[in-house]
Amino acid sequence: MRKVLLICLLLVATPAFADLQITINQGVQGALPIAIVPFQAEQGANPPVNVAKVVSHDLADSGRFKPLADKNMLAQPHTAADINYRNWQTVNVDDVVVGRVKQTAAGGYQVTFQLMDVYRQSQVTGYTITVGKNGLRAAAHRVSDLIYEALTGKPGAFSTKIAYIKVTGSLHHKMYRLMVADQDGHDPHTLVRQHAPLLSPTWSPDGKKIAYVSLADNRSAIYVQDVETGAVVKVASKPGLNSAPAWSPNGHKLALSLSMSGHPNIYILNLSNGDLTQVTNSSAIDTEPAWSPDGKSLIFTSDRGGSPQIYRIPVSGGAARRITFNGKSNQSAVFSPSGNSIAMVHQDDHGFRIATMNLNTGDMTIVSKGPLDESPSYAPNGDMLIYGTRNNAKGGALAEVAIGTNARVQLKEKTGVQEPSWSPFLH
Amino acid sequence: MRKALWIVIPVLALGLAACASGPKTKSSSSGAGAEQGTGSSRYGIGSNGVNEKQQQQNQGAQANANPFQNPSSKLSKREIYFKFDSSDIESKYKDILDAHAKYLTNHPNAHVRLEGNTDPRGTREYNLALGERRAKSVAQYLELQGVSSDQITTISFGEERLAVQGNNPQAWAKDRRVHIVYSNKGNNGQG
Repeated sequence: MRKVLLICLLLVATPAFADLQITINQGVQGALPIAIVPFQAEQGANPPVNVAKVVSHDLADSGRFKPLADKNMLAQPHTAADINYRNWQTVNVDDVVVGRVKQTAAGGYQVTFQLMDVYRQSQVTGYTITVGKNGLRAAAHRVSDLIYEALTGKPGAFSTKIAYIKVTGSLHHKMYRLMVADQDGHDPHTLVRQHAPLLSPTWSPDGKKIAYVSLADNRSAIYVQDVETGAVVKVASKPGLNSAPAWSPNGHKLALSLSMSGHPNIYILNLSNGDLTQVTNSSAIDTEPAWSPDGKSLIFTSDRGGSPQIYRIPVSGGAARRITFNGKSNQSAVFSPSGNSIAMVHQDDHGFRIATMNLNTGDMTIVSKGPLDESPSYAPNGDMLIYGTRNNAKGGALAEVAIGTNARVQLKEKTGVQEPSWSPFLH
Repeated sequence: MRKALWIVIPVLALGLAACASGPKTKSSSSGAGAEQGTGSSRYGIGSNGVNEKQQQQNQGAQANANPFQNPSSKLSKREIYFKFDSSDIESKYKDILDAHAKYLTNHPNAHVRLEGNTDPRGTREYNLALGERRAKSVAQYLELQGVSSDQITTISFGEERLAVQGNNPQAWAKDRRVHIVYSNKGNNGQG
């Protein structure tokens, strides 16, 4: 089964800093052994991207695949017809991916791959993807998405992006940047740059905008910026705190924490007409709202019971119900895309670590090492979490963990990066 | 420290004409004297014919006359520290706040911005709120001593303006603070 996909992409890369690099620092159990054979460059094409390598990294980072190292490959076929399956059975690989890259007349590339089942000796899936001159990386991520979906049944999230805050400079003279990069850390772009702090970047559900908090001009305010055009709108600057923006599932509203009533409470802002609705009304700190995927309830952090814990409340208001009871505190909760779990920052004697909690059973699972982890954000397929970690003096780093496996990936950067937000699926 | 309060400088440097009734260098008093260079160049003292450089040299001599830079004056103390997760003002800081309250009630044109801060533990948004709680706690104390609320602005930087590097209890204790910044009223008019 072959489909032809036309993806025409214009990628303008203006990286100002070194890319995030990926180091897999945790072993993986139960990962599917797969071989991604280096793709052949056809007809003298000199592809600037090693497609097979990008696909290998994508699949390894997901925690669900264990790509075979090139040096262990007994042969390097480029088409299904060239495959001798004994070579792959010998090295205990379940699936092998072969492919080729051709340059098109327009100066772009055509990437063809075939995913073959080593034991059935038949094709699982195969595609040809055509992209423009700068689209080869995107094509490779698309290949990863298609392989992931064919073998796990779930859509891959390899063509998505991350937003994060990058902090440089010395302790008392910092520069803050809001950055957007590919989900693997490649090709970072600066969206906002200022001396005053930037916090809490969060993607709109359509992937076109990012809301964030700025402390410029000695006050807090919430801005919404168009990722492509850079156009910025200030959406909240009430007296007191303007903080913790969270997009509603349809993108029409932002939940936020405002302290104009005297204490930080949760409000909902209608972005089309500016209407503001108060949801909580306590004398505690109520902050960090997050929407359920069905748009009907909010979870938020409140210290009304003494320590910060997670509460749930209908969007229409009413009684808030506490939903976390373990540990010293629980904060920064977000729903998984399915709505069945939440991820949060859980504090106990081991410090601050990321935990997930099944909303049906109440079971909590610690998924990070701490001691100062923060900002969990789900990939849009729910299979990965990205979060911020601070365990060295050089500033924060971003790490990812695969849900349901033990795989942990650290995205390394030279200077401080923090507060990641995973984009939705991008079209 | 010199550059830390760069954002503060433009605010402080404005409207120094109102200095007439108080110490001449009062507007440079925000924190550890970092803004000497810029602040002094706008002083009315320049009208004496003293040029900028000499002004800076003179400032050393004038330090004793300026309570904001005199280490033995309570007004030179502009950090109020807090216990973990708390916004209660400990009794050991009340004398300092009383001194600031007295100055402010005697100088109705003076204005303070109370900057609330936290240590880096916990989430940034929660710490933004906790920093505000601390700033408001100090504001409330000053108001109870008779300071007018329009002489006070509060803002929180959460954990974004750590005082010192380090992930240990000693460093954290220095981060949990409200930092008091003086300026002239009307130049700090954000809500």
